[in-house]
Amino acid sequence: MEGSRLPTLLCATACALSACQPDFPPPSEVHGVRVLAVHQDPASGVPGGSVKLEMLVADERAATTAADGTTLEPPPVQIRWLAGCNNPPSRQYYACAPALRALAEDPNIATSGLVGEGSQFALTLPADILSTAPELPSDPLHYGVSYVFFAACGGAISTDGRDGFPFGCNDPSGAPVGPSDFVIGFTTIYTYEGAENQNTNPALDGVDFDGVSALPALAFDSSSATPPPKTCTADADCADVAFSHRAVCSEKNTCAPLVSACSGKKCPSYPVYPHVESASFQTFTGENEIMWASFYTTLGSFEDDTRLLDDRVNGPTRDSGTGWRAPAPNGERRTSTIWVTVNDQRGGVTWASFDVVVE
Amino acid sequence: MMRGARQLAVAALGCSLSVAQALCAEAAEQPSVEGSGASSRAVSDPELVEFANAEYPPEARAAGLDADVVLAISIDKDGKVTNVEVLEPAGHGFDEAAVAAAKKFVWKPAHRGDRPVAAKIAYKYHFHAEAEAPPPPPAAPLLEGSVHLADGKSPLAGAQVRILAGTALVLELTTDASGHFRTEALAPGDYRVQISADGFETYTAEEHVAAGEETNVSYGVVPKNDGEGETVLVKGARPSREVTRRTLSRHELSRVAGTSGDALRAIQNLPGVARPPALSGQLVVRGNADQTTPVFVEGLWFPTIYHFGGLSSVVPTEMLDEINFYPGNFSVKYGRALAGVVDAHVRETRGDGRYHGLAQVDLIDARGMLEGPIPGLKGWNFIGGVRRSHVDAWLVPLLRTKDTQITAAPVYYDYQLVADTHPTKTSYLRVGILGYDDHFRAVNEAGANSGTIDTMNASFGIGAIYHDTLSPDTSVDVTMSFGRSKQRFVFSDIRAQTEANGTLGRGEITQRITRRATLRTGFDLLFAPYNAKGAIPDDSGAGAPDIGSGVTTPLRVFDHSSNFLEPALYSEMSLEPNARTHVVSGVRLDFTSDTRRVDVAPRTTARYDLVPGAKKTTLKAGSGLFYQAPGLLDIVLSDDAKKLRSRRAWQNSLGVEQRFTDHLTFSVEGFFNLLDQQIERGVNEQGVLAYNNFGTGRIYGAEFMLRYSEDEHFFGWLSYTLSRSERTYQPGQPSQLFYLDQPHILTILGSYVLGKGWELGGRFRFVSGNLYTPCVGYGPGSPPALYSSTQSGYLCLNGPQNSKRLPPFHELDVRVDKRWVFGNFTLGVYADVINVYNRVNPDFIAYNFDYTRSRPQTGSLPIVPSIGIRGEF
Repeated sequence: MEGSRLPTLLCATACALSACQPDFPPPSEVHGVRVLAVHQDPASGVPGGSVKLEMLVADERAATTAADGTTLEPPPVQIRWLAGCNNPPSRQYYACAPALRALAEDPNIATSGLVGEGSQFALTLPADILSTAPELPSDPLHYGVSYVFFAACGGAISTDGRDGFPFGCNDPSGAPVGPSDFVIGFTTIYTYEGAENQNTNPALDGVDFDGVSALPALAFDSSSATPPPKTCTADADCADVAFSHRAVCSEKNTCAPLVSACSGKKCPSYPVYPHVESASFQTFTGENEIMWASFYTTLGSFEDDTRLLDDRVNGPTRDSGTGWRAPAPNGERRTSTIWVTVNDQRGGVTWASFDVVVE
Repeated sequence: MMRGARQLAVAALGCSLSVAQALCAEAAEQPSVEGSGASSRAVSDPELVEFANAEYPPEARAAGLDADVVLAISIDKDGKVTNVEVLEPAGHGFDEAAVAAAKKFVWKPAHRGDRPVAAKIAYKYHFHAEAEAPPPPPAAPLLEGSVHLADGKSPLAGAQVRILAGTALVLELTTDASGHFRTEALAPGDYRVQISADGFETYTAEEHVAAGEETNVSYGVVPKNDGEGETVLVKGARPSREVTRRTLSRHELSRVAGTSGDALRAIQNLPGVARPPALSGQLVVRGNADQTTPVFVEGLWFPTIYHFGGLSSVVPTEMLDEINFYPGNFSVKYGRALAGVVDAHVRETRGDGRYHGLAQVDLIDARGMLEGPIPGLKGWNFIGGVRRSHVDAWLVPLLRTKDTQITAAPVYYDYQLVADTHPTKTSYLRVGILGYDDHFRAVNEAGANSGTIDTMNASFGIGAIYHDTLSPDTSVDVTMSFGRSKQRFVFSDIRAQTEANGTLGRGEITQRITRRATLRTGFDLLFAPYNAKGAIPDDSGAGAPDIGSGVTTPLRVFDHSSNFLEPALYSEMSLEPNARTHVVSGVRLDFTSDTRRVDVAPRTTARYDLVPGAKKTTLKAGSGLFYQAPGLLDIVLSDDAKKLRSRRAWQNSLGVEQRFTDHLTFSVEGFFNLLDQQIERGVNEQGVLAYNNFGTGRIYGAEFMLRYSEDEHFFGWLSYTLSRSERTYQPGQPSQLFYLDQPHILTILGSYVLGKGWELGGRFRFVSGNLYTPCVGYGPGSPPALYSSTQSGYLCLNGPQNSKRLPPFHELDVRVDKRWVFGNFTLGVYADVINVYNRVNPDFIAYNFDYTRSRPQTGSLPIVPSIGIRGEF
C-alpha cells in the first residue's frame, strides 16, 4: 500500500540506528504544565463497569512579577474530562471528533456523567462495549475500546472549542495560552474479552535513589498503601530519617535527600532505579507484556528518559534504571521533584515521586 | 515463372539479396594493426548485379508451401559464382531450385582496398507461393560502430571485426584509422560480433540488426594480460520494444561518482528516478511508490535490490554486463509492475580458456571473484563471486566509544556462481546461483525506540536461462528459477516474518512472420507457496492522523499460509511498415489467484524517424495499461482478499530523440499517468479499517536528457525531470501531493580519462526538498499534539497532508580512479568522495517530544571519502 507504515517503521529503525536525534530538550525535563500519566482503576474495563481515572499533572510554571512588584503565582491548573466515545469507526481516537462535537453541544451534557473536572474522574462503561465491538480474524483477542479525552489548562478552560476538540484554554485576557501551559490528550480504556486477559496496574517494590530505597520514608508510591513521605517545616524535622544522604526539608515541605549542585562533565550521576513487583510482569496474548519506565525531573537531568523493563522477546531487562545529575549551582537551595512512571502496553500505569534538595 | 520467389535478408546466416552485401572474405591476407593506413584496407561488399528467378517446385506450389533455403555462395574475384552449397535445406524440391537459380546470379566482386577479392556469402532464397512478383528490396540494416581501447585512450585501427551467424562467418571487416567500421551488408537478424587484434583480448558481443534501422555499437578491448577485463558494451540507438530504454554499460555503472561503483545505485541518476528518502533504499520512478518498479536479474525478479537501506546492490557490478532501465510504457514481456522496470544482465564468461580473478576492499565490504573454464567440462566456463560487509568490524568499536545504546552493526553478504556454455552453434545455456543475506539484531533498552530490533532478509535462488536461434526467423528464450526467501522484521512488539519458496518460469518465442512483422509470444508463471506471520499495528493508511508507535494498541495478528499463483500470457507484434516506422502492439493477461481476477493489459508503442540518417530525429509515443497485484501485506491483512483488485495505471508518453553525433544525443519525453484501483485503507461497513481499491492519482511531467555516450575519453549526461505526483486516498478526500513528489530532479555527471591510468569523474545533483506534513493542532490556540497517556507520549495533530516542503537537496560528488598494470596483474585504487562541500541536506522534520519545536534534520551523509583498492589478474 502506498504510504504504508512499514517503510516508515523501517526508516525509524534506521534513524534510531543512525543516532540522528536532534538536540532538543529531553522530555524528562519538566517545564510548564505537563501531564505525566493517567492512572486507570481497574487497568482494563468491564462492560457496564466503572473506571476511576486519576491524572498525574506537573505544574512547573514560574511565578511572575506584577507591575507593582508583587509576585503573582500562576493560577491553578484546571482539568476537564470528556468521555463517551466508544468503539468509534476505525477504533482510532481521531474518529471520535464527531462524537466529541455532538457531546459538547449536548445541553444535558453536565448531567450525563460523561464530563468531569479535577484530577480525578469516574465513568461507567457502556454495557455493550464488547458486544458492539467488531470482531476481526486478525485481532489477537476480542476487545472494545473507549476513549476519554481531557484538557489540563494553566489558565481558564473555555468551551468555545477548536475544530475537532471541544476545549480551549485562555489567559485572564481571554487570549489562548501557549502550548507549554495547555495539554490536551486522551486515555484509552480497553475492555478485553476473557478473564485471563484482564490487565492490572504495575506495582512498585521500591525506588532507589543513589543505591538506597527512597520508599517509604522519602517517596510517594501511587501503587502502595504506605503513607506519603514525611512532612516537615524545617530541616530538623527530618533528622530522624535514615538515608544515605542527609535528609532536609524541601520547599514542598517533605523530607528529601540533600545533594550538591554541580556543573561540568564530572558531576556525579545518582542512580534512580525502580523496582517493579514480580507479579507485574504479565503476559498478554501469550507473550511478555511490554513495560517501560519514564523519568521526569524539574531540575537537573536524566541520562535516559525511558528504560525498557520488560521486552516482548527477552522478558525482564537487567538494567531498568538510569542516572540523575544535579543542576548547576545558582547560590540557592532548590528542590527538584523526580517522578518515575511505569507503564505497561495495555494502559496500566503506576508512579512514584520524591524530592531532592540541591544546594 | 516463379510465383513469389523473392529474396530476403538472412537473419542468422546471411545476407540481404537486395543489396547483396554480406560477405565472408576469403582473402588469405589478414589485416594487421597499422594505424592510419588501415582504412585503405577496408573490405567493400559484393553487389548483386543480376538476379535469377528459381523455378517453383510444382508439387510445393500445389500444396501452397513456402520455404527458405539458406545457401553459401562462393564468388570469385571476377564476380562469378563458383560454388553454391545448401546450408539449411527445405526439401520439397526447393533446394535444387534455389541452387540452380543462385548459380545464375551475377555479382560485382568484393574489394579489399582497390583490389577485387573472392568472397563467400550466406544467402537465403525465399519461396513464397502467393506472391506474384518479387517485392522491392528491403532497406538494408546498418551496423556501424567503433573499437577502442578499454581505457578509452585511443581508437584501435586495423582490428578484425568478424560477424558470425551462429558459427558461420558472414562478414569480415577491418576498422579504419579512427577505429570505426560500418556495413550495410547484413540481413536483419541476430549476429555474433567478434573483435580481434594482435596483442588484444578477443571480444565477442551479440547484436541484432533490423531492416531500415541503424545499430550503433562501441567496443572496448583490453591488451592481452592486462587483466582489467572490463570490456565495455554500449548499445546504440537500437529501436526497442519500449518507448524509452536507457542502457548503462558496466564501465559507466562502475564509474558514476557518489555511488562507490555500485551498479544499481547508478540508476538513480537517470531521468525519472527520484532521490529516495534517506536510508530507505527505495527505487522511486516517475512519482510512483516504492516496490512498483521491479528489478529483474537475468529475467528473475529480485524483491530486494539493495543491502540495508541502499548501502550497496545485492548483485555486485562486476557480475553485470549492462542494465536496461524502462521508466514506463514497457513491453508486455514485463508484468506485475505499475511504474517501470529494471532489467539487469549478468555478463557472459570470457571463455578464453584462462583463469581470471579479482579482489576488492573498501570501507563497506570486501569481495572476491574468480572466472575461468570448468575442469573436466569442455565448453563450460564459470564466474563466481562472494562479498561480505565488514562495517561491523569498525563500527561496533566506534559505537562503544560513543556510549550509544546500540552497539551492534548490520552484516550482509552475497554470493554468485554462474556457469555457461554453448551447447550448439546457435544456443546458449547458463545456470547460476544467486543469493544474499542481511541481518541485524540488537536490544535497545533506552529511549523511545526501546525494545528488540531484529531484521533479516535472505534470499537464495537457482536458475537457468536458455537461448536458441532455431532458424534465422525463430528464436526461443527460456528462464527457470527456484528460490527461497525469508524476511524478518522485529521492532519492539511489532514483528513480521515471511518465508516463501518461489518458482518463476518464463518463456518467449520470437517468430519473424514477414520481413516487416515479428511476433513475440511468451508466458511467465510465478508460483510461490508462502507463510507470513506477525503482528503489526493497525495501519490507518496514507494521509491518516498520527496514531503513534502502536505499542499500546492490540496489534493485528496474522499467520497466513497460501500460494501466490500468477500465470501470465503475452503476445506482441512488432511492425515495421517502412524503414522509418516501428510499431509494437501487444497484450498481456495476468491471473492472480488471491483475487481470482484476470487483468488485461493492452499496450502500444511507436517510433518514427522524422529525419533518418546519422543525425536522425525520432518521434516516439506509447500508451498502455499496467497492473500490479495486491502485495503480501495487502493479502495477509485483508479480511477478504478476493474483494481486492490489482492496482492499475494508464501510462501515456510522447517524446523526441535527436542524435547529433555518434555519441551525443538529446531526448525529451512527456508522460501522463492515471492511477486507479490503488489499494488504500478506509473504514469498511464493519466500522474497522480495511483495504479497498478506492485510491486514485495522476502523475505527469517531462524528462530531458542530454547524453554523451562513452567514447575513449569521456561519458556523461545531464538529466532533468519536471514532474508532479498527486493522490486521492479515499473518495471525498481532496487530492494531495504524493509524499515522494519531487518536482525538480537535476543530475549532471561525467567521467573523463586523463591518461596514464587516471580517470576523474563528478556528479552534481539538485532535487526538490522532501514533503512533510506539519503538526498544527486543532486550530489557533491549540497545542500541536495530543497526549496519549496510554502511550505516555504525544501524537502529532496533522495539518494538510504533505503541504510543506523542505529546502532543496544538492550535492557534489567526485571520484578519482588510478590503475597500474604489472604484467598479468592490474592494481586499481579509487577514492569516491561523497558530498564534497559538506552540504547538510534536510531530509525530514524532527520534533521535540510534544511537537512544539521542530527542526529540519538530515539523514544524508556528510563529506565521506570512500576509498577502495582492487587487484585483478
